[in-house]
Amino acid sequence: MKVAALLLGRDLSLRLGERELGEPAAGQALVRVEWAGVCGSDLHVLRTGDWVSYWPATLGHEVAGVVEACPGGELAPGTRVVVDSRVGCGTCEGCSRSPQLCERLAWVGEAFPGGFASQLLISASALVACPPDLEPAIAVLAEPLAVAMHAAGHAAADPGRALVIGYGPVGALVHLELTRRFPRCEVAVREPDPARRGLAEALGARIVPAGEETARWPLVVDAAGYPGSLPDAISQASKGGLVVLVALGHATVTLDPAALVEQGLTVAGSNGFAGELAAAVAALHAGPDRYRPVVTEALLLDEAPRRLPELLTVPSTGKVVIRPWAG
Amino acid sequence: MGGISEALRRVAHIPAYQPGRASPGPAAGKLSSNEAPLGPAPSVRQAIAAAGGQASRYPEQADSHELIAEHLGVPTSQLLLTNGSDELCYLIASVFLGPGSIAVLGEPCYQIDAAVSLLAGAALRRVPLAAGAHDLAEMAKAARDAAVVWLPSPHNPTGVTVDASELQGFLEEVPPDCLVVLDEAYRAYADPALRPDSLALLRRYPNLLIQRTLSKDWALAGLRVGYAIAAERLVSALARTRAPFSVNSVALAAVRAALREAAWHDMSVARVREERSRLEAELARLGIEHFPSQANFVTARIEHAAIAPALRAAGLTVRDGDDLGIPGGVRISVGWAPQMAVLRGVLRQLSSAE
Repeated sequence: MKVAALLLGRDLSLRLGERELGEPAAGQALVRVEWAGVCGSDLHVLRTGDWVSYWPATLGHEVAGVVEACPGGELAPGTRVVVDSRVGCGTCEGCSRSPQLCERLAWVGEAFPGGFASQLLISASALVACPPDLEPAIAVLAEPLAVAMHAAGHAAADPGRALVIGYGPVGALVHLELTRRFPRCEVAVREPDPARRGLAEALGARIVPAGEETARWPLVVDAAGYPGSLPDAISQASKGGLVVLVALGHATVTLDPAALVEQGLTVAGSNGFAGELAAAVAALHAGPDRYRPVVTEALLLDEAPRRLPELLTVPSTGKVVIRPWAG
Repeated sequence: MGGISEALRRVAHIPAYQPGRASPGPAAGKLSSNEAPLGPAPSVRQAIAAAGGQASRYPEQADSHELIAEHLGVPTSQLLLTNGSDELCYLIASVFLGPGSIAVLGEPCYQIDAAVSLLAGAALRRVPLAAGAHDLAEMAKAARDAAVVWLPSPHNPTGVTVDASELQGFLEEVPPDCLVVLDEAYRAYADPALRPDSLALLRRYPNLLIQRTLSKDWALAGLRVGYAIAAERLVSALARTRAPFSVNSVALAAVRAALREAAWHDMSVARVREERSRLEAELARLGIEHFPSQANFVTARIEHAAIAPALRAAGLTVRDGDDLGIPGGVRISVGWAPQMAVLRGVLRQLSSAE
C-alpha cells in the first residue's frame, strides 16, 4: 500500500511524497499516525544524514496513533497506541538487559520508515496501548517523557535543588518529571532563548541568569548539549553531586579528572529509556494539562518540508508535532 | 397592572443566550467559546482545589479586590468585582438604563449588552459596524440623547479593535452624562501598540467605565470573575445594586493565585497570538474573507453548515455566525496548536472541495 510520507533524500532534501508499505505480517501492526513529534535527533539527521540505514528515509520516532490492522491479534484495531522507538538487535548482551543498551541500537525512522507518514508498519510488541480518552496530541509526548523520566530516574532521592541546562522539549519534560517525582524539589533553568525561558518560568522554574555561578547544585541535568555544556554542567554541580547528560553533545571537550574526583561527582549518560514508556503514558493520562504547554507548534504534513529545515537555525520553543492527516 | 402575563410579555423578545458547545471525544476541541486553551497555571488549579475547604464560609473579597486594584494601579474605590463581566452588564443596565432610555450598540453587538438593555426597558439604537469595526463617528451622533453606549473593543463577534486616537475623539463627542462602557474582555490579545491607555482616558472622561474579565487571558471562565474600573461615584452606585457575595470564595482564591502567575499568563497570551497569526495567514492563503482580529478568535466568511460536519469528524466545534449576528460566517476561537493544525487541515479540505 502507498502512504503519504515525508521523504528525506541522501542529499538531505526533504519533500512530501509517497512510499510503499507492505501489508502487516503476523507480529506486526499497521498504525494510522495521529501525531508524530519532532525530536532533536530528527533535526540532527536532517542536518547530517547520520544513523539512517535506508533511503529515502521517513523519520519520526515519537508517535501516537491508532491500530488499523494487527493480523496476530496482539492489539485490537482501533486501539490508541504510542510507539516504543528503540530498535534493538535482540541478540546482544545489552539487549538481554534492556533494548536501549543494545550494542547496535537503532531507532524507528532511522532503521525503517517512521511516523512522519500517514501510516507506520511496526512490530506489535513495540506498541504500548493508551487509555482511549488520552488525547493523541498529548500521548505523542510519551516517548520524550519516557526519556526525561529515565534521565530524572538517575536521581534516586529528592536532590532538593536541581539545575536543568537547556530548556528545549527534553529539558522542559525533565523539569516536569523532577517536580512530579519530587514535588518540593526546586528546579532552576539556564537557557539563553527568551521564549524558552518564558516557558520555563510559566511552568514554575527559576531562571538562572547567565553568569550567575554562585550556587552549586546537587543535581545538574545537561539537556542542552552545546559545545562545552558538559564542563559547564560539571562546574555547576555541588560536592557529591550528580550530573546527568541527556542531550547529544557532539563536540570533544577537555575535562579535569581530578576535579571529578575531588568533587566526588557522578556523571551519568542517559540514553533513551528503559521501562518508562508505560509510566509516561500513565503520567500523561493523569495530568494532560500539566504537559500541554510543552507542545508549542503543530504542523500538517505538507507544512513540514518548509518548516523543519527552519528549525535547524531557529529552534522551536517547545515540542513541534506533525499531523499527517488533514481531518 | 403587572402580574405574570405582563412580565412574560416583557421578556418574550429577549433572546436566550446560546453558549458554545464542546465537541465530544478525546480531542476536546471546543473552539466556540473563546476560552483559554492552556487553562490556568498549575498553582491556580491547586488553589481552586484547596479553596473547596472553605465552602461553608461566606466569601471574603477584600484581599482579591485589593490585589486586582494593585495589579491595575487603581484605587480600590474605583474597582468593582462582579460574577463574570456579564453580571456587570446586568448591573449597568439596572442602574443606568430604564424605560424610555436609549442604549447605543454596534450592529452586530455583544448579545448580552442588547439583552440586558432590553430587559431594563431601554430602546436599542444600533449602529452598523464598518468592516467589523465600530463606526465611532456614527455612534457619537447616536449617543447625543443616549444613556449608555456599549463599546466592546476588541469587538465580539468580529475581533476588530477601535483605533486609540479615534476613541479619544469619540469620548470628546459623547455627552458627559452618557455612560460609555468600554468592554476590554479581549484587550490582552491585542497588539500592545493598538491598546488604548484606558486608565488615562478614565482620568479624563469620568463617564467612561472599563469592563474587564478574568475569563479570557486569565483562564477562569468557569469561575466567573469580572470587574469594572470607573469613577468612584459610578462604582459606588453599581456596588449598592450588586448582590452580596456575588463572587464566590473559590473564584476569589483563584484570582489571588492567578495574579501571581504573570509568566503563565504572558506565555498563554503569546501562544494565542501566534496561533491567531497562523490562522489568519491560512485564511488569507485560501482566500477566505475574515475580520482582522485582535482578540482570541477569528471570524471568517464560511458557512457553518458547510464546515461543521468536517470539523465534528475532526473533534472540533466553532461558533455559528448566525448565533452572533454574522450570517454566513463562523467565529473560530484560537485554541491549542494541535487543534489549530487540525482546523487548518479541515479548511484546506473544504477549499479544495469547492
